[in-house]
Amino acid sequence: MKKPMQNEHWGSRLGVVLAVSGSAVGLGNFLRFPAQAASNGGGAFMIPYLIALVAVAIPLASAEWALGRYGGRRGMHSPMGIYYVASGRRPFFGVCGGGLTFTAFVINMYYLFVESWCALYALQYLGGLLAPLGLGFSLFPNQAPGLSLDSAAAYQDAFLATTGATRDRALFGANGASVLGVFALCAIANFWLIYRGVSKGIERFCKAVAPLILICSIIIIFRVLTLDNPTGKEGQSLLDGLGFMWNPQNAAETLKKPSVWLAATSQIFFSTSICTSAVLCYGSYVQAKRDVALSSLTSTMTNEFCEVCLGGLMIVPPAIMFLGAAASEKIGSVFSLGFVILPNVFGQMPAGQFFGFAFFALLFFAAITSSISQLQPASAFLEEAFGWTRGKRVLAVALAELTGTFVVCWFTEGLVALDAFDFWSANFMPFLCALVQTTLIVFFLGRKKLRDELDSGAIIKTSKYVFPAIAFVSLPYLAIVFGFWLYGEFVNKCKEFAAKPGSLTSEIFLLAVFAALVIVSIFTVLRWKREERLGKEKGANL
Amino acid sequence: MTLGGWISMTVTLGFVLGLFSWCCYKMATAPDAPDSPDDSDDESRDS
Repeated sequence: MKKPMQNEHWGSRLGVVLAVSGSAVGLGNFLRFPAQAASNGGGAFMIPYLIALVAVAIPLASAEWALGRYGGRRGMHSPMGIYYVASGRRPFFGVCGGGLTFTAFVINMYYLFVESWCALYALQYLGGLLAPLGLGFSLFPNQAPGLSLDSAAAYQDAFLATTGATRDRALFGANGASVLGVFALCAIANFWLIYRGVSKGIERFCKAVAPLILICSIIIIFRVLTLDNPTGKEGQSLLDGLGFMWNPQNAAETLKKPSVWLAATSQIFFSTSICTSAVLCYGSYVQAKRDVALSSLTSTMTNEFCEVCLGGLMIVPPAIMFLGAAASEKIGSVFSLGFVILPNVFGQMPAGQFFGFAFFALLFFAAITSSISQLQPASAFLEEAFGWTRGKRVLAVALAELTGTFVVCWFTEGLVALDAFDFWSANFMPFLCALVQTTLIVFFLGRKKLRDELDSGAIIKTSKYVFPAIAFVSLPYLAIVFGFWLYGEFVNKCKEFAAKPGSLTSEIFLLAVFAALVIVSIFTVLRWKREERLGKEKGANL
Repeated sequence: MTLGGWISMTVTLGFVLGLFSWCCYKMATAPDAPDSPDDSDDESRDS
């Protein structure tokens, strides 16, 4: 088999942990988690959430790092190549891996767009539009510079203007120039970091940005926890805010609902980046003698720290403290919470401009470390499929990603295209990927190879627990949850999408992307098989 | 905030913070493995 040209690896253990943590820590931690917890029973949601963390996330993350490095040691860095070698060179799993590259690749198509909203909002706070004072420039369409927004409706309008959610193609007029301009800068930054490579681009950037994320978080947490009933109204104290997030609401009833278990498991997948091919790809660049057991646990727990300890305390409580019942009705919607409710809160908070800037800068930094991790598997896929140089690969990935983002930006009415991209790439595919991956580990890679890989360079010995946890807990748990999800949510969502023209076009585009990945994977795997056969024949003749 | 709220918050934050701190401690105190010669960085080959 032709050896891939690239043999990159991470520079240090801290570097890889920060890169994987950066990949996991993103909008899911600071916006999706509080919204999911508050709208799925508050404290009661934490029971299925912690069970999913222990039963699925921790064992699967360990196995995924090990699986990635197993492939990386054999010159493979994309899910296609890693699945192929880990399954004992079975073409079926190679093609499955190629198809599952879809997950991170498609998530990036809309994630870049959302990342640019965060950058735009951070710039707006710097410019002073969303709060008094500031530098006095406006990037929002139809808003004069220097004006602060003074009502909830104005924040909603600013959000609609930024996203173009009022009608399709809204961003392709003069009003969308600033949004698309910021988007272009974000996209260039992402592709440049990927072009720089794993250790010189991704690792260095994550090492520089991780302290910034922590500093911004600490500033906001300190501000939130030192506010007590800023409006003086009943039911809007700090404890009321914390209670809205953490009080178990009808615990017995909540835990009987399959939708709550689904939400908890989906949240774990979304936030830890497992089964999206990003962790698998990053794991493949870990050196043979370096630890993966402790590194995988540390990156998973870093993500959980940001999600539960930071996201769980800094988002919902101030929304309740400043806006009371008006906020509680909209907290379940991720975008409303992040881009309408919180700017409204910062508008009423003393020094809100500074805290608003810190918050959106935090979101932007968290988002960019995630988005670069979504590009690397596609780049590795092209390397293995076509043997292209890094420059050529980055150019091809950039063109494909920008085509997808164009579809998202075109069908903006009600953000239907974004919703369709999110559903297939961040909800459906990770479940499917988790099932394929656990089946591969349990039935084809096997206990011994997994243990050997986890034990190589291990600082902590977890190998004897990981395989049984995956075989007897994670796999049945995932099969049951995925079954409920297909039965309950999947059919309804498909019917909902079929009724919207924008969704249908988006799905045709996504189907074409998936088909292209599968076709390229089939040809690549057949080529590998042919090369192996020729190699054997050559060996026999000699 | 109810008693149940305090319990769920304390247990969840305690579990996450405890395990995260332990991981950080182990990361900080464990020696880093030396680079193995077969894993040399050759980024220049395709850049």
